[in-house]
Amino acid sequence: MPANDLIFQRLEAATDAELSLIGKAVKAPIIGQRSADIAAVSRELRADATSVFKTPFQKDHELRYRKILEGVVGKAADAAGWKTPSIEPDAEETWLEDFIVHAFAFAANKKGATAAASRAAREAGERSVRGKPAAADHSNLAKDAALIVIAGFQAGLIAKAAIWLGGPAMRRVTPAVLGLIHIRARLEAEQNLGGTT
Amino acid sequence: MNKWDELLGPSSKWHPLLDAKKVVLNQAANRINWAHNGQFAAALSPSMGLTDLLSKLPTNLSAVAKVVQTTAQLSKISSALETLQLVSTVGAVASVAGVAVSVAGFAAVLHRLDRIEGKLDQMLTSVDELKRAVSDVGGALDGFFMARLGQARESLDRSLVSSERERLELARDARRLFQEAKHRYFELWKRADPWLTPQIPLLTVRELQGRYVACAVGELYAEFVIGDENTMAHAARGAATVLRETMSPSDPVRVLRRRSDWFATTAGHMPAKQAVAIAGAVPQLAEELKVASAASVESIRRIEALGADGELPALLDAPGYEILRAMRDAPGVDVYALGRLEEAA
Repeated sequence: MPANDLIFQRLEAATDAELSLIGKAVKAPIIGQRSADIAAVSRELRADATSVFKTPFQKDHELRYRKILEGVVGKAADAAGWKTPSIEPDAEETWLEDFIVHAFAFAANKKGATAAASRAAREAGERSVRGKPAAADHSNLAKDAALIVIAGFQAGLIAKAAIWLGGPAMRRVTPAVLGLIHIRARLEAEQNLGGTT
Repeated sequence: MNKWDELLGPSSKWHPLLDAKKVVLNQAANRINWAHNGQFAAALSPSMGLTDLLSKLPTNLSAVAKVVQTTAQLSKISSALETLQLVSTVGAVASVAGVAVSVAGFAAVLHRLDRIEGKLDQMLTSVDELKRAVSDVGGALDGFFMARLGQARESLDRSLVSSERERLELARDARRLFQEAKHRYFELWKRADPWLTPQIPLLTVRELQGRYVACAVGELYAEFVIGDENTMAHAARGAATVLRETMSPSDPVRVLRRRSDWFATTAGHMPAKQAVAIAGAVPQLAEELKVASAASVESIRRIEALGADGELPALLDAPGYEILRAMRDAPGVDVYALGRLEEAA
């Protein structure tokens, strides 16, 4: 396993359900042995990403998470109807994750958005990919998302936003990446609760 | 004005005594004691008007402080509120917003019973996990509905103004109705295991817990009117134990993980739903659980304090129904001290 690899770190912190969901997304064989399952998920995710991003062949676990995120950023921007933002070389992986979440969350509700709200969401997304979100960005996004949740998450009413993700490999990579980001969100929520993570 | 109204001292009367250290505060019991001998001086009680304002406060702590500072009526008594710990902890605010507990919070509980919004009633018939639990408990569905609590509240309220003979009858009637509803909610809770059942929203879980607390407190008030100090203390201990051992989110991280997993599973592999869960649902879970945990702790603390209030009639040399009536009718937006502060002032 590569040192400081965020994919492995997240998968090691995953609940069984989280690991299983990501495994299903990338069609990794889950056999109920944690270290083997984690390795299988990482391998399959990277293999899918290697094929979709047309990067030169690399050995198992070698494709960097950041490279995968850069590809998903483009898809997320497409889904939101935005131009793909330029990504600085020193942009952190978590900034790219923030953009991805921001763009897809906006895509979930963009039909009802006014032009001003749309512009504000796009600008907030651009700020997050530079690692400089305004305090209001997160709370606005959370508020909007929470409204959607309250209105219909539990009843399964969130619009099945027609998001074109490209070929089959991308359709596996994107949900898997969002699964990894979900683990981060859950870990942050646990820290916020004051519990051990 | 009756003779018991003279027992009610607004915050402006007892604050100078606190400043001069003639009296000291027992925050756990919401009481003031004389500094020189430690004896009981007064029980603190928020008025109905104050309770009304408090119940509308947000549960976000920083927002609460801001609202208190900018609301003219509240800013006047902000030091009294802080003394009562009503704005100093998120749990106290959540507890008051949900169910304020202690004899000193009698008005608050009557108010809370009036404000039950029926979300739980709605869920009982629409969420499969709750429907199944209701069916397991057995009996008629309407036994869980707020109408039953309204009936109990009505009996309790009438007991404060009725004749001696009717008073006991009405108080016993209220006690029976509250006890019955309390047991049903407890059984429902055990079968539904609501903290770990993600299909039941946390707001509904809190309402179910709040109804149990409201029933327990209603029962204790009925005992207070009936006048049996020991039975009241016993009932308070029982309710506090149930709350602590069964109804509190004893492992909030486990609750969060179970619910977070459910959000993830429900979202499946749809990026838009996944993003909404990440951006909104999961962070919101943590906030709601923090408030729920703090409110549980506060409710337990207050129910335990309420158990000790059975001695108030003897301390104040006044029957229980008169004490409750004075608290219920306390005017304006203020914190009152129920005692005879003037005697030593």
